[in-house]
Amino acid sequence: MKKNGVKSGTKPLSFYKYYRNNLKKTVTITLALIFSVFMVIIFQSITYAVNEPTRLGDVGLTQNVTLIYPSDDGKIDNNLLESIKNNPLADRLIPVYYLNTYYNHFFGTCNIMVLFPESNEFNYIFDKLKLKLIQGKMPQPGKREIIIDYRLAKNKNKKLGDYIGKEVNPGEKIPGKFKVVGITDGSCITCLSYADDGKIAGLKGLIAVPKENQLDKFNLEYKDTNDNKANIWSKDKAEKRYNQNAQSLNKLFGIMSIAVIFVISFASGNSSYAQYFSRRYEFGILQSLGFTKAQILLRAAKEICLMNITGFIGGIALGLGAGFVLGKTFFEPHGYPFVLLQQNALIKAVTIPVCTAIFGLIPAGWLLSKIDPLTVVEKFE
Amino acid sequence: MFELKNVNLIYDLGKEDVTHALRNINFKYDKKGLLGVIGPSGSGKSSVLYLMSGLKTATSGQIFYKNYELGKMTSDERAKLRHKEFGFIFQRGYLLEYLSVLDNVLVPLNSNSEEYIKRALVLLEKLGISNLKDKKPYQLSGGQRQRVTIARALINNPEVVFADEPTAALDHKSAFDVMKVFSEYAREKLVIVVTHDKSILGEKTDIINIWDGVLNTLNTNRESELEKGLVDRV
Repeated sequence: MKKNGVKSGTKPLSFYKYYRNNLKKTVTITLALIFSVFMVIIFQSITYAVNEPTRLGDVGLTQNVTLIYPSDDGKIDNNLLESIKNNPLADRLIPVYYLNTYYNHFFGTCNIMVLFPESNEFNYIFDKLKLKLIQGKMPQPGKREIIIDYRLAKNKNKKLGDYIGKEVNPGEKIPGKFKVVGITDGSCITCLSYADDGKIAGLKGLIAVPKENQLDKFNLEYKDTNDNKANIWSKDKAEKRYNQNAQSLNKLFGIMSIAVIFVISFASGNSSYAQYFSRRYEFGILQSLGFTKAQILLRAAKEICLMNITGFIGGIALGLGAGFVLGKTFFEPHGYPFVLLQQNALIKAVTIPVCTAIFGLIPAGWLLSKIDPLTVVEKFE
Repeated sequence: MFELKNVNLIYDLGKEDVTHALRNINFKYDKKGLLGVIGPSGSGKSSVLYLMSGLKTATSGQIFYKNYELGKMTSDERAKLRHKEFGFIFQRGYLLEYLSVLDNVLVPLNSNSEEYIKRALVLLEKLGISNLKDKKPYQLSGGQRQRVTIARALINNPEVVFADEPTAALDHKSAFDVMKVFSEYAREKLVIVVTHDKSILGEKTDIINIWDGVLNTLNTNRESELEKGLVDRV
């Protein structure tokens, strides 16, 4: 900016001036921070993409209904059956055949439930699972037609008119083949077709649909049901199993994030020490010119904090930008659930600049406390 | 303005080889103008400067500047005093290498105000280096660097300028120009110049002579002339 012919820029001891005039040093630290924050965001995206299909396929399915599988001997205890039928909390008990299909994710596959209810209960269960048909039409009984979740369709690269089943892919668990006639969306990942009067060679079980807002009470009543009577798969059990499975991946994500935070903090501390050690001459001069140690330390703190904030913002921006592109070009086309930035990742990402700032400030403060202006200047004589 | 009472500066106190840098220095100086501190190399003249500017503390004795007793002040208080009242020029042109000449001059004020930039440019002009204002220190010669430190020492209009061998790195003409700037500044303020080259100081300059850590003589030429003048007038 030029005022009356005098060029005025930023203050000589401003962060901007130091940063701009020492790009080699400052950019390296900033890039390391950007990369670390970016890595945390990417770890989180991968973890989410792996965990989320399992959650949607298992926990999601039990948000409004309770699945009842036969016990190991293939039967459901009659007394239990009567109890559920007569339970005032239950709205309906629907016979259903269960089969599985698979969903590919980064580290393997997870099972997705395929439900085959009786034809007269199809629309009821479709509504109770809160599914929404977003493409195609509903299947017709006796035609071996199926509707599948849009994420699963993308994951299996299936479109309307394509077939799904062992006949087209030996790796599938669905016997024969079913024509995809509809694509659904909803808070769970599943497939629906017709039982066709028991022609489906699946596990014969039930779906208990409790009355509105009675799911938890209903599940509580059957919480301690002996596995010999039936295997009752409730929301609580599904959540428990999901949390157990997700825990290991979350732990891995946590360890990787901590490793990144540790490495970058250690590197930042070292780099900060090296940088401020090489600047002790500058600090000596400033002290000899009348700047107090507190003023110099405050300036160093500002530099470190601003550098960390810059790195953090850069990392978030890069993470969001790269995430957006990856989401559109990789995650979504493969049906991998994707979220740009989760609270958990944001907290971990914030930890990086906080730790690096602290580990950067400690050596800077220690060095400053040791600096005597004359000793520094005389050493350079 | 300054008073030194029984000032001693001893290095490596408590060790076998104790070095007496200064012994029993006593003098009082309460004038503006140019004050030369001369003596051979290693005589302790720079130490006097460091003590008077608060960059070093005396081992014993008292140093007063105006109403301040430097020995009783904390290092931060002395730093604040230096910032407010003093300008310092070291033997070598110590500059912040990543800043331009103009920014280096503005460092003590850490300001980008138009007024201070103009003041810095005037100083650089007086020192004959205004054309170098955008250069970085590594692009300057030793003499040019020294002149930048002089401009930096004068930018906050200090009451006292301490200059430690300011002309050591300069050729004769440059040294003369620098001393001209000091003489001009000394009309209003006090400029204390440490040198081993007495010839750079004018004949009328007050001189402190230090020899082996001991104050040998304090020649207050101007005072005697003033007294003489007063006597003549009477």
